[in-house]
Amino acid sequence: MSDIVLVKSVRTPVGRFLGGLSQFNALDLGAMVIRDLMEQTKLDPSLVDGVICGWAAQDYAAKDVAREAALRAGLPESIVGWTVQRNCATGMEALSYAQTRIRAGKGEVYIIAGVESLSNVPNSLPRGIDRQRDLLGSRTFYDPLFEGLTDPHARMLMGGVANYMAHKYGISKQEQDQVALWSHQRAHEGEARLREEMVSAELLGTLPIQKDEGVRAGLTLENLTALQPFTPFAEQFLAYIREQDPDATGIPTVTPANASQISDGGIAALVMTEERAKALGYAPLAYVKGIDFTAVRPDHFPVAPAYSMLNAAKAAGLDLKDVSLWDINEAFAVVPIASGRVLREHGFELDLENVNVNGGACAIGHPLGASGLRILTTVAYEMQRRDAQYGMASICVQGGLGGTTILERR
Amino acid sequence: MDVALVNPVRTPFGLYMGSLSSLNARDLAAFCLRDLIAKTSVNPAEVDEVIAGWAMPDFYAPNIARVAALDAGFPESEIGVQLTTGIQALEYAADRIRAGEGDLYAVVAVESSSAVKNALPKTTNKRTLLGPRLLIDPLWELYKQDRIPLGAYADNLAEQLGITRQQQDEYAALSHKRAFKATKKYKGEFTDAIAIPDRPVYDGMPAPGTSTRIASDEGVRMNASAASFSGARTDERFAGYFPCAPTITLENSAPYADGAVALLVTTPERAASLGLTATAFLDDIIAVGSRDPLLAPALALEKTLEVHGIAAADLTAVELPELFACQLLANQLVLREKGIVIPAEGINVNGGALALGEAYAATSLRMVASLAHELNRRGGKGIAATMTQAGVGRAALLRR
Repeated sequence: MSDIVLVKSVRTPVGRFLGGLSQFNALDLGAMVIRDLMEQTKLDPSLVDGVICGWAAQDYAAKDVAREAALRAGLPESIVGWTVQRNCATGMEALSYAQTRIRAGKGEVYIIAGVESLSNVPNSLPRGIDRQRDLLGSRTFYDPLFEGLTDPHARMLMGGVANYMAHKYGISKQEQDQVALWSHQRAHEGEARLREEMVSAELLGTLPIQKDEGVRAGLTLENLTALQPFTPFAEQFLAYIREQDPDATGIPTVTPANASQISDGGIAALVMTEERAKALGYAPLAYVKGIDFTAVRPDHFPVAPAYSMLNAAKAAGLDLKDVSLWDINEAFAVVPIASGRVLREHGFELDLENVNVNGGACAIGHPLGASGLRILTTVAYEMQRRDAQYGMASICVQGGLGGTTILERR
Repeated sequence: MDVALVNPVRTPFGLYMGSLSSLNARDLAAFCLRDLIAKTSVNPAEVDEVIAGWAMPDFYAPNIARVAALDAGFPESEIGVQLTTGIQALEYAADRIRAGEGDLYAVVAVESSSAVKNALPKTTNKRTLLGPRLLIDPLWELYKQDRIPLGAYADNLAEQLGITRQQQDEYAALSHKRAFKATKKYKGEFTDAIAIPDRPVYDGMPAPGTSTRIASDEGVRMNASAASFSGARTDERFAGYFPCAPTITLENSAPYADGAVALLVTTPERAASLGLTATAFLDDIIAVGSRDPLLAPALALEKTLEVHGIAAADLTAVELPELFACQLLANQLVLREKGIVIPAEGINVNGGALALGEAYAATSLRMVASLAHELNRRGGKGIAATMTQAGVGRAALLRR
């Protein structure tokens, strides 16, 4: 079976909720990054076998964002697209499906992308279908984003679940705040490095923001410590543990600052077989060594990355000790910490020094459908700088999933 | 590698705001999956993954494949992925099998037009802080290409190809007749009767004792005739986009619908080891992108014949989309002009969306399911050429 390589990946800066990128919807962002990717790689559009784009919070902005963004980016009329949705692992799923297509013998060259414009998720009003209930009286406008951040089975906001895991694994607020602080410090120090994975300087110059908008330079641990746990997270978490045991007590620890930010962003990457990359004269950024998705209980999603990393390593025949660089998505600061605890139970000591070395979602932000591809891109570029052999990108997913990609440099 | 399609099953299709409208897509998908598992007696833990198609997704079911699978009794280790339409979900499963990544998938396609909410864009722009704001209907927006409703394209297509109102009305009546006959005859293709709450349930399933049950497609009219359709007014929402005499009416175009379709996708070996019989085998799915939103199915069908070296005469049954009667007739005409002649008695033999309703993601998988069942009876090869979003035609080549 031929090996699959990541040739190039470009992304927009990540914008804050209702911030610098909010004038662009998901389709705009997708078209923008795909066009830039085509220009930077100078790829002949007729060689592209398909476009696979992840988009989590889908609305009416596009029917099939993969094809529509590709058309707008100048790809030919015949281009075929797939839009995929696996919540926060959506961007990683785009890579995974490209790999599947190539292995199935359905083409060799794919553009993959991940887009999200959470600023543009519209509020929504159910059609009036209940005469008794809807024809007289006030009606509620829903916020799909808020609904999407609530687990349909655990019936808790993601932050409530994060708090539950902090409780279960005995992770203090201080530990979480420390990870969040590192995230901002590293992202700030790594600004120039993060710039390397972004769109071309010309395109960047035309955007309202030129760097990841959520990163706060002068943040201190005192700032973070002073912040109180977010009440809805705390209430849902406490109610949840009391459902199981009426006498249970727990300490709320998740604050808006040790959680990721709600963001906008787009990312696109070019993947192909090793042979095709050689034939076209591309130097691979990284080889895709393995991809894994693992599901655990919905109320345990923050530790799902650990199980996924273990499964991914096993399937790839690797020892976790062989991996020198990690990105574990900071949907909440508790995620890398709790995942580390689970890995410890399995005999591996995760050193947070090597995790999210250029900052994570607490600072950079979490544009859901783009994040999976963003973190593996950040790992790939950093592997190149350090000449690391193996890197791992792992993401937790609403609903109890973990997704992991192992990258290799040869 | 051979890909086997096992036990395609679907809910009855309800009309927009009709009998299924108090259920949402999550309920329909979970119900259909549960029925599939019950009918095939497969242990859900053995399914490699549930793959869903949903064209008008909403965040009440973020990644509906996993949400509905857990609702339907799949274990927590079930992962799930959501694509846009049913035939894409099927394509995804077939790709996974051909890539050697698994050999048993449950594919479900679902649409609840009735549950699509109206949308109010967030105010991200200072310009919209003052003045009225538009409440958008995504159902209507997704019915457009390049801001023109598909019905306007259909009106134009009818004019260009000389398809008369009479021909369209006749075909629409035929679709109803065929669907009526088929629903009576082939009860095994349906899920068990579905329980419907009397009132919409926005959160969770209905309380016991508040439901009625429906067992058949709501849109099918047994007394449909071209004469009864001839009085219908042309649809004025489609007027003014192209210079043409309007012929599209509510009767010769497909109504919006709600429904779900599910099937198992596996290898012949795995099917045998599970004691399951393949309804049909999937040889390939081929997609073609085109500028014309309505004629892409014909192009996909043509390319499928070409790639696989099959003649039109080798096909025992064909499924073509019926978003409009005009669309079906136009695709047929275009194919005939290219020398691909499929006898009319081989196309949509069990009726189509004109009678059953258009339930986007579910419709494309319903066409494949219907073809699989028909090939199971007739034998031979067949193609379901579907229309997916944004001008893409996707054709599935099936055989017994």
